[in-house]
Amino acid sequence: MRFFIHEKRVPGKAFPLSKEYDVVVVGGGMSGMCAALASARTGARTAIIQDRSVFGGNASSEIRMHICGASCHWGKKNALETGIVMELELENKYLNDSYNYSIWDGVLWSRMLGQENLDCYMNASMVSVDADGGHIRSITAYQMTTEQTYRLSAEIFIDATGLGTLSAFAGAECRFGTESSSEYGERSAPDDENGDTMGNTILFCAYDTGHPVSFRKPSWAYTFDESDFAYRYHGDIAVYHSADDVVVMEKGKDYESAEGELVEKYDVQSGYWWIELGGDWNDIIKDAEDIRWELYRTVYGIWDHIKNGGDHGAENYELLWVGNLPGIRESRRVVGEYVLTEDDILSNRIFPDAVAYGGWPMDNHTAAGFRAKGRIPSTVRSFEGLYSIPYGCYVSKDVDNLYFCGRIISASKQAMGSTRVMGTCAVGGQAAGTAAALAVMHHITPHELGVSHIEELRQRLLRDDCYIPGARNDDPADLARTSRVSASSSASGYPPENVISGVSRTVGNDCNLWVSGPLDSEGAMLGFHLAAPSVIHEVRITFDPDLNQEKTISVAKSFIDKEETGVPRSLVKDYEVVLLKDSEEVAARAVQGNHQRLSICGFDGIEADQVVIRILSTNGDVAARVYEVRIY
Amino acid sequence: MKGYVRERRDSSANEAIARKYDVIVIGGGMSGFCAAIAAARHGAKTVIIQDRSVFGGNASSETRMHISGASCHWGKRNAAETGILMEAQLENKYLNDSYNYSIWDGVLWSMIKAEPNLDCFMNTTMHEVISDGSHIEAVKCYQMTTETEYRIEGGIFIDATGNGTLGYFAGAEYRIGREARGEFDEKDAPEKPDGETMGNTIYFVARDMGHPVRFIKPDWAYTFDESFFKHRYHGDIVVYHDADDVVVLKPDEDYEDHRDQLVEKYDVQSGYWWIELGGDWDDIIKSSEEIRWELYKTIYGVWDHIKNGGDHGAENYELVWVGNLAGMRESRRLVGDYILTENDISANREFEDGVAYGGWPMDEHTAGGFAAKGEIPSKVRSFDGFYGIPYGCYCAKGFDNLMMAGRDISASKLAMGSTRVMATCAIGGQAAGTAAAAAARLGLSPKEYGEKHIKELRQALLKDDCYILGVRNEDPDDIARKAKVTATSEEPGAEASKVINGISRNTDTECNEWISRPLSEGEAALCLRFSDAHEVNEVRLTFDPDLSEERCISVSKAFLDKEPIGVAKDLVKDYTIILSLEGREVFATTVRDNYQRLNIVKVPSILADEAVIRIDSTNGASSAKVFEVRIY
Repeated sequence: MRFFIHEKRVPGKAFPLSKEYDVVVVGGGMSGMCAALASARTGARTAIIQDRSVFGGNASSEIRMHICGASCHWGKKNALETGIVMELELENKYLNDSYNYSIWDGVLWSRMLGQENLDCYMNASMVSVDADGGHIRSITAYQMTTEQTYRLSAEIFIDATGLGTLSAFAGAECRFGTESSSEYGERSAPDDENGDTMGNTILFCAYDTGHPVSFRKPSWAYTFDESDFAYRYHGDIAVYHSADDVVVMEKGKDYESAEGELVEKYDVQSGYWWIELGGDWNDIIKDAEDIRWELYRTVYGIWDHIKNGGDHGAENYELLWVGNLPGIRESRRVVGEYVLTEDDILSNRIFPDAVAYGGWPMDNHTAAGFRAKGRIPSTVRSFEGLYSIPYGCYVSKDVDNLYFCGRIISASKQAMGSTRVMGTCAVGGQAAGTAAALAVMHHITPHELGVSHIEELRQRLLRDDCYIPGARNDDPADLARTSRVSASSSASGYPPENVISGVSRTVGNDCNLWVSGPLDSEGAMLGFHLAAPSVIHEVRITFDPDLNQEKTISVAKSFIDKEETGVPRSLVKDYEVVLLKDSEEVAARAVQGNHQRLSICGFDGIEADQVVIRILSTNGDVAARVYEVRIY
Repeated sequence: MKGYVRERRDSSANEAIARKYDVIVIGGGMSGFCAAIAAARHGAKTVIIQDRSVFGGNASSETRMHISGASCHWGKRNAAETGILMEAQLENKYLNDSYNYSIWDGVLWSMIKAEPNLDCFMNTTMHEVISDGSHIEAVKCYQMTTETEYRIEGGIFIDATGNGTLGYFAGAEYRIGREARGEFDEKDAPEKPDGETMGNTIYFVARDMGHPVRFIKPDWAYTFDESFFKHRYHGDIVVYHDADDVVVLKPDEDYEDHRDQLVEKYDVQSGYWWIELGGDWDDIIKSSEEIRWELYKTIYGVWDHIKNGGDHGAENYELVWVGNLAGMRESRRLVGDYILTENDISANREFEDGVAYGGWPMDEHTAGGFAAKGEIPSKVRSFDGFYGIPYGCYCAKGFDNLMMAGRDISASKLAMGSTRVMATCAIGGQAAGTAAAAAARLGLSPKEYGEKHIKELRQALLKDDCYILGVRNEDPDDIARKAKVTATSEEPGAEASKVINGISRNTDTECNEWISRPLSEGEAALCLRFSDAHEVNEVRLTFDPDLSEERCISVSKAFLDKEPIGVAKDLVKDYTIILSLEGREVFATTVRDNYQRLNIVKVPSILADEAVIRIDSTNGASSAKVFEVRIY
């Protein structure tokens, strides 16, 4: 039994608890989470500091922005981000038919807490950094729920704060605002540089109660009339956004009707990204609490306008939730070894040291947001294709043990209009986290890793189901690459050899996919005759969740209506992997109820000369679909 | 236009911004909220530091516990807490027919923002206290949203942290655990002292979808069978709790049938306070993040049991929300100039320096909570009547500038089983804030202020619509007390003179309000006549929202079904005040759409010898009801 305590603490400074790690990640949004999971999985002792009670940042239940990425919402084909972000989204698809943000919180939290090698400090704010401008020694964080001060030291630090707090405190060069067109030769940039940034947003949710509901305007709500809403749609309407206009689409037209453009469907069930303030304020960080209160007053004013300011089809809608914490789009950008620019994006540039990619338009919201009355809320510069993001965008040029990921990466203002979306941030986070762990393992700096081990990093990312434009699996340890592949059946144009094509998604005319014939009671079989008998530890299979279909949790009615509910039908469900030696079975693993894209079967080092994968069922599709098989 | 910023800090030190206030409140739960508003309204330059994005603490949208108090939920009559808490609840009743926690968040936030003397630092964590063990010099706080470090110094500090963090860091004497019976001669205390406390709880909310909904058990959820749920009801059932048992009521019995016991109605729409862990752990504060995660795993396990572990009438229910932050019941109790005990409570003791009151049972949850399988989840020691809480319970012993409010006030473990509920915390907060403002103004320590000015404090609290056992309005500045009061009509026993009898609520033995004949029978007006002309600056009216009715926001179906929706019917809605001098009208004003209990009407200084208050309409009741009229 615990003892009764009756005492006084000696007043004075708390003695911080010191902890040492290989890698410390500051910030638990999508990029920080992916960085921390990647670092821990790559073998580094990792800690993550998150100042909130939940993970996910702008995608968490606190803010509820959906995860955008290169696909531009049913726009660009085969563009969805894979790797850790896909793993999290597929776990959510399995559990969460009702787009419940509490379950999504649980998905993120459980993956973080369940990760070996990873310590999570939640409800903990980094309050100071011990650095000399060229190197970070430690950070100090206070955990509000436990009253504990921690001093965390590490070989490598990753700034995933969104604001670039760690980088700024550590003395790395940071920038706010819009560069002049001459600085990077960007034709969309203004003639003269200025301090404009995008603003912050608070979202709301409402629901249809099936009967009329009144809304009483609170004293804190602003009053708006229709003139405040030019270009800011707030009813049942679909539009697309371009660089000059917001174009209303004909009734019945949808995402697919304007594939080259960024389509948005509005309704009164949730919204709106254009409830945006700041950017024209003096300091978007120092003013954050004032902006938050002004946004709160604005959201209630907009809901009052929707309910009581004319017919918006919202008579039966009741307000259900209003965010208490704004989503922040832009503040500092940290200067790295390379600065990504508009030209890199428009030319779909493939960097030899690329570690991530993007595809979202250069979507630069108008500074001042909702108060930029009469102006379009965003200048959306769409482009075709995907661009790559080089390693140098994640590496500090000033501080020798600092990576960054998320919206703060090294990019011009124009380029960050595209790189800032969470799908792109997440894959960058995975790259930074993987790189950090490799740097620790090799006892080198991030800069040195870029010089001497960039191929190892890229191959590691491909192995972990990341996509890098222009890169192929050439992992010498992968025994599948040199094996002879056969299948029990194949659909025309989808031969079994595609599973060792080195690319694990469809790119242009290359489908890179094996599709079986319709599954019967025997299932479908994929066989690998190894070049020589080998000891097998692991078989990694990449299935097809349909990379054209959005899988993000969202509050948007248009997403909830259009997304597939539940596990993607095209994913394999039950399968088994059999190892054979001289045609005799030597080991087997059966997997049931798979709902992931990357599925890994471990073996205890069994010697075999043949591997057979038998697909027994899918989550709804008639045929088995496999992008890649790797054998280690 | 703002300038473009290139930032490169040459030092990693984040210099603190110094601020000075008269009253500094740490913690933004219900007690801190009331303390800060009270201090600011009494003229003190006040700051409130809140480490979350919302106010309300355990009553906020983050935790969603309803505000319990002396009424014991439709048990004790005329017991609802008034003052600032009532004001917030009535504002919520006016705006929030749908028990929407976002609107409640807005009510609290807007009330704080509306106070001109009050600065609020939200998302701000106190991480260091500068103290010599008898005087607090300053606190250091970090605001996560603005990256700003503050050093705040000033007059009186109020610890409304819940955990007693400020007192603990400052070196104040504190206790954790259960005192021995011998220490305060408490009959229900254990023979020997021990370290047991109550645990923490996470809530959930579900919704009836009108059609069957499945729930897939997440991999983080625990597995529970019915044996875990002994005494822990989780279906449609009504019980009462006493010191030894949980007694199931007959199907038609309700709150009113067992007024002397604590009645609870269970359902599957929300719950449950008994999803509780900790208290038997090593350190409930240091372990709070682990307890939080264990609670999270437990709550999903409980929901899985409800959905998939037998028929609980929950087939159509879908989980809509799970808390991310645990509600905490108990940790440190700071030792004050007086320690409240079981004997004070059982005896309904009225202290000469009483400044607040309580009535909730000594409700001592079993340490271990849900893990104390088979044991009753709480020993509920109900008692008749109310007890006073003396001023000394809010003043930290041995400090000249530290007060406390909330569950960390100075009480024995048994007494805190009653004082810990939020309404009792809230009125104590108002008392502490009011005292702190006056003490800071006079340059006295809280203790000195109590010794010299307790009568003024008690009168100030009554004026602000607080209730103190055994105290009547004796305010010499209130000229209404000298008036001859008549009315156009009155009910027997509820005569016009009641409005100046000095007590502004009914008691079991005494009606203290004026009730007119039904308004439909003719004009209802009060007339206060003075023998001489007086200068009038302010008229204060106290109406009747029915202090036997609950009006807290709640997730509980039992509360949603039973509480009246909207503005309390008994409250006066429209009224007119007419001041006259020698038979001539000199001032008149009409107030419309009132939904508050305490109305303060400012009058431009004017001489009058008669005040007429004409009740033009109510919010539904047939008659006008007025508890008190004060004129200044």
